Order: sequence, then C-alpha cells, then structure tokens
Amino acid sequence: MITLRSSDGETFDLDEVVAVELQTIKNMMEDGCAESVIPVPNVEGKILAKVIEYCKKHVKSTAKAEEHALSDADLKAWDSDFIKLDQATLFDLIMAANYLDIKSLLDLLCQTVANMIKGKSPEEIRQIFNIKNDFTPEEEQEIRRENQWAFQ
Amino acid sequence: MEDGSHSGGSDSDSIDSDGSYSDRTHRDRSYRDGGRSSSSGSSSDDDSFDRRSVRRRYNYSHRPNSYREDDRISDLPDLILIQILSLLPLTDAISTARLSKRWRFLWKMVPILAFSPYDHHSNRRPSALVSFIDKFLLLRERSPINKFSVQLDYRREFRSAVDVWLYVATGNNVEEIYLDLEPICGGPYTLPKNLYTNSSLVKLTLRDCSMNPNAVFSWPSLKTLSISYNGELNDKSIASILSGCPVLESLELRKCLDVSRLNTMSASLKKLTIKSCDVMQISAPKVESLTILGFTEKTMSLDLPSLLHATLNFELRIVKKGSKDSYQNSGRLMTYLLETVNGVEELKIGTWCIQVLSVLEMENLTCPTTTCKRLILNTSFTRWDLPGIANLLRNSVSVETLVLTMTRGRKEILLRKKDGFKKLNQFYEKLDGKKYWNSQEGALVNSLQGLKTLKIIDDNLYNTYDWYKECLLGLLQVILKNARMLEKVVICTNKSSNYGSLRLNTMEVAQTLLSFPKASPSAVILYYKS
Repeated sequence: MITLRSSDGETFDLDEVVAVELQTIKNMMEDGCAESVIPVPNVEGKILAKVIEYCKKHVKSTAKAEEHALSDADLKAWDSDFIKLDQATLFDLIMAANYLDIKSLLDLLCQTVANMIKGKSPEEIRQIFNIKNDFTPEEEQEIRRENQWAFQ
Repeated sequence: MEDGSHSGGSDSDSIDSDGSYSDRTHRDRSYRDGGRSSSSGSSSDDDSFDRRSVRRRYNYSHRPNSYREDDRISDLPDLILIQILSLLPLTDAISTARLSKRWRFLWKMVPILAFSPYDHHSNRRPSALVSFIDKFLLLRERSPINKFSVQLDYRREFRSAVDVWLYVATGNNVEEIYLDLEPICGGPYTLPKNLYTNSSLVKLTLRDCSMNPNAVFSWPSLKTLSISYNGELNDKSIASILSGCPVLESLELRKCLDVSRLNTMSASLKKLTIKSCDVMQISAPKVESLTILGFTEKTMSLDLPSLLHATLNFELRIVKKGSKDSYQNSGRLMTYLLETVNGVEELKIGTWCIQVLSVLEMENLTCPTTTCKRLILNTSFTRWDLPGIANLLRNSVSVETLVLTMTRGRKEILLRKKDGFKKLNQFYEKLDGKKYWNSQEGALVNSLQGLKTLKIIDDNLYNTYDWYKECLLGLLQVILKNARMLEKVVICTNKSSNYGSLRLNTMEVAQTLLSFPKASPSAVILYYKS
C-alpha cells in the first residue's frame, strides 16, 4: 500500500499494482527512496484524485489477456467520458500526467487537445484556448507568406 | 491622418502597427480577432481609435470564452505541445505558427512526419506532394525524426527526391520508416543501398519498393518488418534479411510471390504474417503467432513448435475449377493445418476455410481435435458455413471463449452438381438453420461444457434476411441450453449498420434470448454498439 499526498494535503492510498502505473512513483519505489507517504507537491488533491481514478481503471485492463478483447470497448467508452473536462482541469491533468510520467494518460489527453485543434483555423484555435495573438498584423502577414508553400 | 472610410463591419477593424492606414480593401478579411492584437508600441491617441477598440472589446464580450483570462495551453512545456502537434496532420501543425510567438516555430520540431495525398486538401497531385515534402524537410529544424512515412503515387522522376528524403530521415536517426510508393509511371522505386544497412531503424514497412535480392542486409535494431508487392525477393533474400536482423520480432510478407520457403532459426521472431504469397514451407522455432491471409496456390508444410496463436483466413486458389480433386486438396490442406495447429491457445478461422470444413463434414470426414481455449470464427454465416462451424465446434473440446464475427458475405465455394456434388447441393438447398442446430445439439454438448464467454460481432453483415437471424438464434438457443459454465454473452453491433445487419440489438431479439432456457443461471447478456 502506497500513500500519496497532494500539494494541498489530501492523501490517497493506492495498491502497489496501481502505483506502478505512475512511472515516477515506480522509479522511487525501485530506488528505495519511497517512504510511507510520498509527497506530490506539484499536484492538487482534486487533480490527483482524477489521475488515480484513471490508473485504477486502466490497471485492471492489463491484468487478464482473455478479458482484454471484451473490455477494450468498455475502456474506450470510459475514456471518452473521462476526458469530458473543462479546460483548466484538462491542462492540470496534462501537467500531472507529465510529472508523474503516466504515458497512456498523457497520450489520451494530448489526443484530446489535438482533436480540439484539428481542422480549425488559427483564429478559431485562439478563441477556444484564449491564446493572445501577440503578432502585429504585419508579422502575421509575414508568417503567412513564410508558410504559404504548405497550403498551395 | 486616419482614413475616414471606416465601415461598420468587424473585418475592417485591424490597424497597421506603424499607425499608417492603408486602403482597407486590401485588408485580409480573416483578421477577425484584430481587437486582441494591440499594435505594438505605437498606440494611437486618437479618440476614434480608442472608441473603436472599446467597440471591439465590446463585440467580443458576449462570446462565451472571453471571460476566461488564462491561456493555459501556451503554458505547457515545449515537449508536450510538440507531442500534441505530432497528432495533427502536418498542414494543421504548420497553421499553428500563426497562433502566437510561442507557437511560431514549434511545428518544426515535430518528430513524426507522415505525408499522404489525403492530408493535402487542395492539391492531390503527386508532384504537389513531392514538392511539399521537399520544402518541409528543408525548413524543418534539425531535430530527431521518430517516424517518416510517405504514401505517394510514384513516378520515376521522383526517384532522386525520395532518395534525398530517406537520406535526411536516416541522418536524423529515424526509427520508423513507412514507404508506400505505388508505381504509376516508369517502374517501382529502388531502395538506395545506404538503406540496406541502418542501425537506428526499429520498424520498416516497404510497399512496392524494389531491392537487390542478392544484397546483404543489416538492420541490427529492427523489430518489425513488413514487405509487400515485391516480386524479386526470393528464399535466399529472406534468409539473408532474417540473419541481418538479430532482434526481429515480427515479419509480414504480402504478395511476395517468389518466396516459397521460410526457414529460420531466429530466436527473436515471434510473429509471422503471410498474405497472398505462395509459401510452401515454414519452419521457425520461436514463432508464437502465425497468420495466413489472402490467396495462395500451394499447399503448405509447417514446423512451428512454439505456436500459440494461429489465424487461417485464406483461400486456396483452385487451379482447375470444379474438379473434385482440387476440393480434396483443399480438404487435405485444412485437415493438415488443423492438425498442425491443434495445440494453440487461440485459433481464428476465416470463411473459406470454414466452408471447406463444411464439405468435409458432409462427406463424414471429421476435422482434427484442437485444444484451443479461444476460437474465433470469421464467417459470413451462410448455409455453406454451418456444417463447417458445427464440425469445428464439435472438435474444439477446450473452448472457453467463442467469438463469431459476421462479416460481409462472400460467394460460397462453387460446388457444381456435375462434379459429383449433387447430393451436397441438395442438402444445402434444403438447409433450415434453426433445425440444423437442433439436430447438432447432441454432438455439441461436450464442447460447450467449458464455454465461459460467447461474443457475437455483427460487423456489417451483408445479409438482411430473417433466415440468418433465425439461424443465429437457433445456435444461441443450443448454446444457452448446454453451456453450464457460461458467464456472459456479448453482442456487438456496428453503430452504422441499419442497413445490412442482423439487427440483433432490437427489443425483439433481446426478449427472445431472455426466453431461452439457460443451463448457467448466472449468465448475462450484454449489448455493445461500436
């Protein structure tokens, strides 16, 4: 049993088999520097809870190869529900998945963001993510010209 | 002075940074968020400018996103943004250059380069794609390339261009190369010699690429190799390739018609896929998974002691159509194959093979017993499949998971009456699916004892007739009645199939299934839509 403590003091108990899904924690355990309670200073409780929820669900799937074929559809459905998040949580989760080194979660989240960007114009993308356009119109014009070859 | 021709539309709101006001008709209409782009440095004190910018801000205030202040996405580390850009078509990634200064050059670091005519919306001509790739590689930052993939209608004149691309890719330590260069004009692309030896490649897929069959290949890191449409590689070439790939785990050959024997002592090769090649003999001590697909003309001999998974979804091309001999050949081949793979854990069988087993069944030739735990049948579930399915099921004594994937109907094996199949044809014509399964029940009882999971995948079956639905329900009835260990029945229907499906996800079917007596009281029936 491993205990993680979030930046705001919440603690979470995990079975070892779940804890090793978090590569960072796994490395700590292997290096022998994992103490009874592992602090996770970069991650808030509410986000850490979501991360753990994901890991618990995905650990079960790698357990039995036989059930794998059946639970694939299950997992996909669960994943697509899981990623229905507001942007703030989405990006907090990305940072957490990156820090804790959970590849499958990071891949899922990056794919989610990519799907939000795909096929949209820069103007639309800026609106969705609130990106400030710090180019002057002239600079933008210059960039358009610079990359024109790609759209011919 | 300010240009007085200010029109009300928002697309004329952008102002040049140096404060000059050029003719608005030249303004690019897509500068819609001009309100955000504060002119750097030169803020005009002009009253009308301020009013306009207030108006602009007001225009944006009723858009839902404007109250959130943070741009969280730009705060992500470079590597993550690059990972996100890698998941986009390249033209989309390049468009992000215009988002903001932070994003301007990120596209140049994307390590996954996939080029195909389908990404390029406006211009599908091969020469346009070639030109795009040339320029892309020229402008890209010198940074690692994980994957380089090109799908192109190949013409001889592109040869030097492709050579250069491969040179750049290998120079950036590419790990995965995918080349699909279908020759349209002037013969296939010949792989440059410097690619015969490469130490960073982990995965290589070559389609329609010509290679010197007598060359020496050395790919010390290669784990996955797939070669298709190559008529020059022969047995010696394959042997040479295999000895040059000491860690190869998966080999796939498609339409390599000059390869007939695959003998290797490779300790790493675990997975072998053969599609539409005439391979007669395979001998590989550590291969765990064998897949035979497509068309073949030769019968085979297999020596695969470590085999755990076998997929037999192929068709033996009958050279002399209709002659009883050729059917006997097919029968013998299937019998031999099933004997050879009888120890595998998972057996997947395709519709032609099933129909051959049907013919055997009708001639009272039972198929060999297998001890597989998972049996997957890829079948069009027609009359000509049923006896074969019965034959297989009866002889699969240890099955715990049975999957029936109903695929698009193919033409049944042609059995002409004049070739001696008169009785068989009569049988088939009169075959009543539901009654057939009832008659088979006694023979199937034993095999059904260990069954825990049954899965039916209705994958766009071509047939819509009630016959098929009744027939499947007949089978399900027999199974439910006798499978004492049954835990679940899963029915997957294709989301898009309203037309051309068994329509198993109806209330009527559900109620019928619930009404069948169950030998296993805890069995559940689940429905999925994919």
